[in-house]
Amino acid sequence: MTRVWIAIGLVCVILTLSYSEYYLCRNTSEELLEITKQIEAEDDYEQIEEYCNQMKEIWNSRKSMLEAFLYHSDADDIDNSLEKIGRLAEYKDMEKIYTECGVLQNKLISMSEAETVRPHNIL
Amino acid sequence: MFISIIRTVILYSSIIVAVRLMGKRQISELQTSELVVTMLISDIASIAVENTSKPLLGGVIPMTVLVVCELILSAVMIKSPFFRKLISGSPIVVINKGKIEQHELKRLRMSVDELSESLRQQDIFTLEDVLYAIVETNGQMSVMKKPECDTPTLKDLKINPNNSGIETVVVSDGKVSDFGISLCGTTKEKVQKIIEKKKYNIKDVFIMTMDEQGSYKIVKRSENL
Repeated sequence: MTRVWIAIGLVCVILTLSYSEYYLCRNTSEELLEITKQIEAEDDYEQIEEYCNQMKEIWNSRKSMLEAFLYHSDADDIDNSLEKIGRLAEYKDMEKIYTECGVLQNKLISMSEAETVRPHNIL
Repeated sequence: MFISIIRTVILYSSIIVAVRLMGKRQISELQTSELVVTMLISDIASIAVENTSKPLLGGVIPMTVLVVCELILSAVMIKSPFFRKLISGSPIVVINKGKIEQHELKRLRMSVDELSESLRQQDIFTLEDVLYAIVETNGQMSVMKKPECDTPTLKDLKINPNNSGIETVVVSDGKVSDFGISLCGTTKEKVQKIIEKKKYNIKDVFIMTMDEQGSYKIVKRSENL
C-alpha cells in the first residue's frame, strides 16, 4: 500500500509540473505575442524599443523556469530574436523588424501549442 | 562537460530510486510489464544523458510516469486475478504427467531443443524423468521429476537432522551487524562478551558467524590488511 501512496504522490508532482509548464508557456507566449502585434502596428521606433524592452523583461523574468521545460536551443532562439528586434529598432529598419516579429511569433505559437492536448501533438 | 556529468549523476540517482520503488527482482525474473518498463527507462535515460540541449525534466518525467504506471499496475494485478492474467499471462504446462504437450509447445513457439535445454539447466538430462514441466509467467521453467527419479530427502531416508537454525554474520569487518544479531536471536552484549573472552578487539574481527544455538566461528583480520 505504501508504494501505491508513493505512486499517487508522484502523480500529483507530475501533474503539478505539467500544469505549471502549460500555464507558464501559454501565458508567456500570449503576453509576448500581444506585444509583437503592437510592434507591428507601431511606426515610432522609440516606442518599438520600449515594447522590445518590455518583452525582454517578461522573457528574462521567466526564462530560468521556462528553460526547465523548453529545449535549450528554442529558448536561445527566442533570446536571439528579442535581441535582434531591439537592434533593428535602433537601426530603424521597419521591414526587417516585421520579418523578425514573424519569426518570433512562429516560435512563440509553437511554444504555446506544443503542450496543448491535441491529437496532432500526441501523435 | 560538467553539465553532462551532473545530468548523468542526477539521472543515475533517479534510476536507482525508480528501480528501488519497483522492487527487488533479477532480470531473469522480470514480468512482462517490468521488462518493458526497464527497457524504456534505460532508453529514456540514455537520450537525456546524450542530449544536453533537452531539458532534464524531459527525461525524468517520462521515467517517473513509467514507474507510476508500473506501481499502479502491480497493485491492480495483486487485487485482480483477471488483470494479472491479462498482463502477465498464465503458466503453461508443457509436460503433463510425463507427456509432452505438443500444442502448448507450438503455442509458446518453443522447440523440443529449447525444452531439452531448459530441462538440462535444471540438471535433468532425460525427458522421461519429468512428471511435470511448467513454463512460468516470467519465462522460467519449473520442473517436477517422477518420484522414482527424484533425489531422496532426509525425510524420505528417515534421518533426523540436527537443526541449529540459520547461521548469520554477526560481525563483519569489525562492525556488529544488527540484522544478523536479530536473525540469530542473540544480543550485542553476548557477542561482545564472546569476543572479549577470546581476548580479541572487535576491530580485529574480520568475520564472526553465529547460529540460533549460539555456536560461533571467528575469523581474525589479517595483519597486513
